[in-house]
Amino acid sequence: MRIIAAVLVWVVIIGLVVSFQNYSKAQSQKLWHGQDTPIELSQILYTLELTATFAPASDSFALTVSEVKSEPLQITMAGKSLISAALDLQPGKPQLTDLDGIVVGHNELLVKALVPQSYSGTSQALRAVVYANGAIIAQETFWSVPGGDITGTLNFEVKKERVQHDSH
Amino acid sequence: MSFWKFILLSIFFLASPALTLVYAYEAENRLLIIASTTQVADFARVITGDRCEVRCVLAPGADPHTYEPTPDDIALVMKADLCLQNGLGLEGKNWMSNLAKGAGKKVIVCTDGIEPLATAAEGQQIADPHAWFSPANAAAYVNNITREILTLDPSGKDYYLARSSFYLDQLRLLDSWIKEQVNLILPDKRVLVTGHDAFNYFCREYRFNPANNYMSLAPVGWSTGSEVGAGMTPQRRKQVVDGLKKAGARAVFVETSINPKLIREIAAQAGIVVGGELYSDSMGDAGTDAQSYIGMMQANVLTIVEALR
Repeated sequence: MRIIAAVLVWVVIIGLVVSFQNYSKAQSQKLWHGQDTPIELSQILYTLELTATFAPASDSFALTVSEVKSEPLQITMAGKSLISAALDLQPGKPQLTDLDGIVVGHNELLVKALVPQSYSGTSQALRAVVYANGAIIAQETFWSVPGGDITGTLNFEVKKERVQHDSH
Repeated sequence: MSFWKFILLSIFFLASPALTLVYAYEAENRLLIIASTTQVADFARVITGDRCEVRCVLAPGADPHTYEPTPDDIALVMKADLCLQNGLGLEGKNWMSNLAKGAGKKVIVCTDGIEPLATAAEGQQIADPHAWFSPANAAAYVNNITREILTLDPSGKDYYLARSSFYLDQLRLLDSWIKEQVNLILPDKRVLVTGHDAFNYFCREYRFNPANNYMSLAPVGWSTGSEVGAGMTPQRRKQVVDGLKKAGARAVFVETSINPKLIREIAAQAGIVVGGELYSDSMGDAGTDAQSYIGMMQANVLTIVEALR
């Protein structure tokens, strides 16, 4: 009898936790997809939040060929920069910037940050979070090997059906 | 023989020579780059890949300070689309520059933009040409070569930039790896004595020879030739032996491109061992661990660390 009671209590606890998780997820999806109030893709504001353990900077190992200089921090997709202004990222301080050029379908952001030689002894990290109208749609933390740069990709989908539906 | 077999065989026998000719034509029409030293040639090969043919005047193990160009070198440079030299006087009596000038070819100085380390000799300040011993300087070589190649062959821009960028990342990792390896030696035990003064940039970058202002210790000056500040002097030899005793050095190192007799005598005089052979003015033969710049640096560092730690 006691065993059955214990199992029932556990089932109730786990059920509540799972329900809460589902509810939170649904709320987040709702905010992102805007099911209650349909919105155009052009009306969605994409924002990128970056937090690094270091200050990206060019150093002796940067490509310095006149027309193509290595920017200390690059956020690109299909070879095009998605950030319009250079960011002055400081260790531990999150920085927000607008993202231009997000497309319907699969988006793959290349995140590249030059880690200066002064940080060469340890691994460094860069956290990137993409928001759509304030809701998180993708996030990733990238790590460098000691002495190496940070290069990684952040992948997320922008649903086509939603946009087609919204355009009517 | 059936009709279709005949057709297939005909296509095969006609296509083979045609493809061979196309391949030969492409190979023949690649840009030809002539480099003076093995290090510079390696950088150029890494950047240009299959789009250019890179040939080196010096063979692995040859001494650039005392090299005398041959008629074959003149013929080679005559065919070049671009010539590359280290500069800062590494090529004794400017032999590469003279070869290029004689053939009417453009020559690029790969050390352009590098702040040279200077040593004083006979009242003169002499720029040390062995700049590639700092991977950060090697990055400057790569940028200089890339810049020139882009002008020469703009259609390959994306290809060259992608290769250069990848190689610069490798150099960055090499620098980090060297720091990690060198850290295995106590700072006071980092005494590097070599055949000639080729390791100033290395000593400065990785904190060797603190008692000598982080500069190289060697019985022979910056060049093995007869230039100012070059060659062996009794004072220099005495300074090295005294330095070895004072620092309690564990080993000295011979160089692959220099006669090891002198350094072996010094080792015997100071009562220490020869720690191994280092690549200095030239990389290793094809098939050895030092056939590339990165391989050469790794081989040197492993030899030094194993002997001094």
